[in-house]
Amino acid sequence: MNTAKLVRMANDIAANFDCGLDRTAEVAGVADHIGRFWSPYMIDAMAEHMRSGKTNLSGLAEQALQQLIAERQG
Amino acid sequence: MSRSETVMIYEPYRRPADLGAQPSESTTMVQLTIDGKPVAVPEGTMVIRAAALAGINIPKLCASDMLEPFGSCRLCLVEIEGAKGLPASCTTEVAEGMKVTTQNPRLADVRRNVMELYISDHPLDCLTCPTNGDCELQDMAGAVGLRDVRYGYAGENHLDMEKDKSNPYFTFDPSKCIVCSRCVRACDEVQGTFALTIDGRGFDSKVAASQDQPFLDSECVSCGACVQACPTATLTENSLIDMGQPEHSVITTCAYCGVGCSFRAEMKGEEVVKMIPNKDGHANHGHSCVKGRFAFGYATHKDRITAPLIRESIRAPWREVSWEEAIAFSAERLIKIRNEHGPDSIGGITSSRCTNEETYLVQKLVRAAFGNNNVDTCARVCHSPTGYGLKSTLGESAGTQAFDSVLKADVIMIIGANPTVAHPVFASQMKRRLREGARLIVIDPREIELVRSAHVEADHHLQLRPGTNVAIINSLAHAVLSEGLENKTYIEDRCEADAYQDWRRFILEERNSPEAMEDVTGVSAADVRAAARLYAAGPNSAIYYGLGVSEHAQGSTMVMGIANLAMATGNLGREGVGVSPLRGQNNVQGACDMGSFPHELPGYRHISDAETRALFEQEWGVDLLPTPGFRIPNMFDAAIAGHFKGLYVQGEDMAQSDPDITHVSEALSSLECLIVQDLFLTETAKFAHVFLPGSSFLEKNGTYTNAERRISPVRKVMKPLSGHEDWEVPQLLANALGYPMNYGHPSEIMDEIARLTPTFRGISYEKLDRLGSIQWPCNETAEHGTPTMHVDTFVRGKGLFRLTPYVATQERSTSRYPLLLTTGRVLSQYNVGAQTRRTKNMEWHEEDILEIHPHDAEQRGIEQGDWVGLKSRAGDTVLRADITERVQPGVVYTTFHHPESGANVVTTDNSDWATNCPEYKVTAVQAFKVAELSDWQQRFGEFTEEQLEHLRKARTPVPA
Repeated sequence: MNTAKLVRMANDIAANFDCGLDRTAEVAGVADHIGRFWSPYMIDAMAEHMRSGKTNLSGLAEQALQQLIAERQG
Repeated sequence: MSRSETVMIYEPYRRPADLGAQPSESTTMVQLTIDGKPVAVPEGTMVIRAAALAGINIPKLCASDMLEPFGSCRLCLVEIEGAKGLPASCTTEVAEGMKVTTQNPRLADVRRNVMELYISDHPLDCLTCPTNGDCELQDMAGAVGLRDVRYGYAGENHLDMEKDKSNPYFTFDPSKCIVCSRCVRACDEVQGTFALTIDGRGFDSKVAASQDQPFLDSECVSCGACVQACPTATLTENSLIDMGQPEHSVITTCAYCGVGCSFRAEMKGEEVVKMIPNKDGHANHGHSCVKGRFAFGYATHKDRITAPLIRESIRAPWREVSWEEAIAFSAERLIKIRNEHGPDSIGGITSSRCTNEETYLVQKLVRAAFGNNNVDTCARVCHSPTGYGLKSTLGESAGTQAFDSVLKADVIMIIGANPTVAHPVFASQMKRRLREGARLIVIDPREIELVRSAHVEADHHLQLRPGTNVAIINSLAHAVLSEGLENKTYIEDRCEADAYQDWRRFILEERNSPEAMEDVTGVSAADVRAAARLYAAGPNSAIYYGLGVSEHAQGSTMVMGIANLAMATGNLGREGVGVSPLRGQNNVQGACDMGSFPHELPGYRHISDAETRALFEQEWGVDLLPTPGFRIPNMFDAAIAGHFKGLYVQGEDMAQSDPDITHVSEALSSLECLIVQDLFLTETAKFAHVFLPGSSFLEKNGTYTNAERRISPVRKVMKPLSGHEDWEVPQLLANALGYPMNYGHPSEIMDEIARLTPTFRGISYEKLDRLGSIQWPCNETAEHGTPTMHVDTFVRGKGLFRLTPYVATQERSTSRYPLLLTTGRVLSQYNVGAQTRRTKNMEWHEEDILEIHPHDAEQRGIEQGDWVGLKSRAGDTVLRADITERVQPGVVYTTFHHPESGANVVTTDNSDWATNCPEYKVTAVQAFKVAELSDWQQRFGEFTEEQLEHLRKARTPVPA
C-alpha cells in the first residue's frame, strides 16, 4: 500500500484535531478516529512504515498512531 | 362474469382530481350550504373548493388547486344568496351562513354562452386532437351542453397560428389556446421561473415564452408545469401526441435527484406515455423538473444491455451468456481470488442510484458471503462528511427537516449548493418562500442563479475563495458569539456544557474573527458580520447545503461547523429551521442508512459494537468481522498495491465520477475480476470481466429514501428487460458463493431491515402503500414517521459542539497552477449522465464547458468557444470556453456529465480528512489555449472504440 498516502491521511486527521487546547484529548481523538475508520490492513501498513524510521508524520499523528498501535498489541 | 374469472384490480387511468383552489391553512371552521347541502370548511377556503369537497363539481377552466385564484374564465360563476350578480366561485371565499347555488337555468345559460364564445375560436378537430379523451375544454363543452355556436366559425380567429415544436418534449399549439393563463401562472407560482407571459391585449392576447421566442431558446427550464396546467391541447407532451391516452397509471418515485419526487407513471400496457408528478407526493406536491418528467427514454434506449456478458480479460471481446453461466463464472473467480489472496482481497460497491433493498443486499452479500467489511458506496465521494459531521454533533447522520419546513423559514442560508439546477423541485418551493419575503444568504464562490433571479435576490452573497468554507463558518460563529447573539437558554438546555465552553473559547480566538479571516476568504468582515446578524436574528433560520460543503479537504469540519452554528443560535428541533444536506442522487440517504459504509451496519451502528453485531450475526447466521473494511479510495490503492483483486459494483460508475481518473483506471485495470451490474456499458464496465444487466427504476420494486429521510415506493411498471430485477442479482451471487438468500419480494428484505434497525422498526410495504411515504425514524414512538428531528432532545442526548480549526487545503494556486477549478452540475444532465445523455436532454447540454472569467480569459488570449487546455498535477484535458462573470477572477468551473470531457482527469486525490470524500471543489490548475484534444482524451477515445467493438462482437451472432 502507498504509505505516503497513508501518512498524508494521518497528518490531515491530526491537523483537524490540532486546536492547541488539550493535547491528551487531541491524541486520543486522532487515535480513536483512525481506529474507527481505517481497515486493519492500513493500520498494519502504517505500523510497518513507522518501524522503518523516518515517518514524515506530524507530532500529533505520530503520537496518536503509536498509542493506537500499542493499544492494538496490548 | 363466470366463476372461473378472476378480477385483476388496478387503478384505471383518470385525470387527478382538481378542487379548483388551494387549501386554507386556517383552523377556524365556517358553515355554509351549497345547493342545500350543509358544508363545513376552514375559513379562507374558496367556494369552488368547498363545493368540490362536498362532492359538487362546479364547471371551471382557469381555476386549479395548484394555483392562486384568478377568475378569468367566468365558467365557475355561482349564485350566492344576498350577493349581487354571479360571483366566480374560484375567487370568492366562504362565509358563515352563506347559501350557494351552483346549478340552475340562469347559471346554465351563462355558462353555455361562455363556452359558445370559447368554441367560436377553437378548432373542432376533437376526434384527431392529441388530448381527445383528456381535455378540460371538451369536458366543459359537454358539461354545459353546448350544441351550437351561433356566431359561426368564419370570423376573425387564431386557428392558423403556427405550432412551436422547438422543445423536444412538448409542443405549443397556440391555435388551441383559450388564454386562461394557467401555463403562465404555473410557470410563475409553481416553478418560479417567470418565463411565460400573455403578450398583447384583447383579441391579440397570446402566450409567449420570454421575448416571444421559441420555447427552447427562451428562459423556459422545461419543467413541464405549464403542460400539466394546460386545460386544452395547447401545451401537450410529444409522447402523448405520438402514443395517445394512457390506460392505467402507477404511483412510483423518480430515479434522479435527492428530492425524490413522487410520480404517476401513466402507462399504455408496459409503455410509459408520460410521467406526471403526483399531487399527493409529499416531497414534490405535484411539481417536477425536466429530468423527472421527461427524461425517462433512457430506460428503453438501444444502448441497454439486456443479457449477461463475460470475458477472460478486459482486452478480449465480450461473450453473451446465460445468467447461470455469468453467475457461476463470477462466483468461481471470486472464490479463487479469496483462496489465493486472502479474505480481504474482494469487496463490493453499492450505489445511491439503487434501491434500499438492493444496497442492503449488496452489503449483506459482502459481509456475510464475501466474509469481510469491504463495502462502500458512492456517498463516499459526495456526502460521507455529512454522515460523519451530523452524527458526531447531533447524533444522527441525516438532515433534520422535511422539505416543507422551508415554508416556515424566515432566513435561508444556502452554502455550496445550487438548488435550481441540482434540486430543482425543492428550489421552486424555496423560491416560493423567498417571494413571500424570507431573507436569503448565499455562501458560494460562484454566482448561482438564486443570488439574483426573477423575484429573488440574496441579501448577502458571501463569494468566498474555494476551499475556505471553514474559515467562513468559524468567522460567522465568531461574529455571533462576539456580538452576544447566541441563544443562551437553548445552549444551556440542549447542549453539552463543557464542549460548548471549549468551543466558545476556540471560536472567540482572534484568528477566527471575520476581520482576521478576511484575507483568507476574500469576503469583507462587514459582510460576514451582517450575514451572521441576519442568521442569528431568525427567528427561524434554516441552513441548506450541498456538495460545495462536503467535497473539500475539510468537508467534515465544515458540516460540524454548520451544526455548531445552528446549535449556538437555537436553530434545530422545530419546523422552519435546521440543517439540511441536499443529497445529490435519489438514494444517497438510503444507501448510507442501509449499512453501505465499511465501518457501519445498517442504521449507522459501528461495526465494532458487539451488541449490534450479535443481532446481525444471529439473523444472518454468520460471524462478522469487528473491524472496518476498505473505503473506495483504499480499495483502489490496495488494488494497485496488488492486495485487492475482486470487486462487485452495482450501479456505480467510478471510472467517470471519481477523482483522478488516471489512478482509478490503473486500479480497475489491476483487478482480476471486476463484476459490473448496470444498464449500459458504463466507463467502469469497460474495465469489467463480468457484465450483469441491470433493471431501470421502471422495471423493479423497492424503495428510495430522499434527502428529507422520506422512504418512498418504487413500483414495477414493466417487466425487467434482462429477466431479473436488480435485487435478485446479489441474491443469485450469494447463493452461488454458498451463502443462501431466498427473498421472494423486496418487501421481505424491508421486513428484515425493519427487524434489525431501530429507526426503521415501523416500516413495511403495507404501511408505505397506506401512507404513500414515511420519513424515518419510524418506530414505536413515531408510528407515522418523523418530519422534524431532534425536537425535544438531540438523538445523541445533548448536542456536542466540536472544534473546527481552519486548515488550508494543500490545493492552492501557485505560479505553475494559478487558477482554482471547482466543479458542479447543470439542470438538464444528471451525475455521470449515463441516463440523461441517452435522452433528448442532450439538446440543452451536449458537452461540458469551462467557465472562465473575462479577465483570466483575456490574459490567456482565450475567446468564447475556444478549446482550452486544463492542467493540474493529476492530469490534463481540453474543454470549450465560456467566458462569464458567474465565476470570480482566478476561479474556473466545469461539470462532469460527459466522460470524454475528463473533468475528473484533472481533479486530484486530495480528500476530506475524516471520510476521504474527494476534494472535487478545489483543484489548482492552469488554463491555456490549445488546438487539439489532450493525450488523455485521445487515449480515452481509442479505448472506448476498442471496448465498443468488444461489445459489438458479443452481439454479433456467430455463423454456424
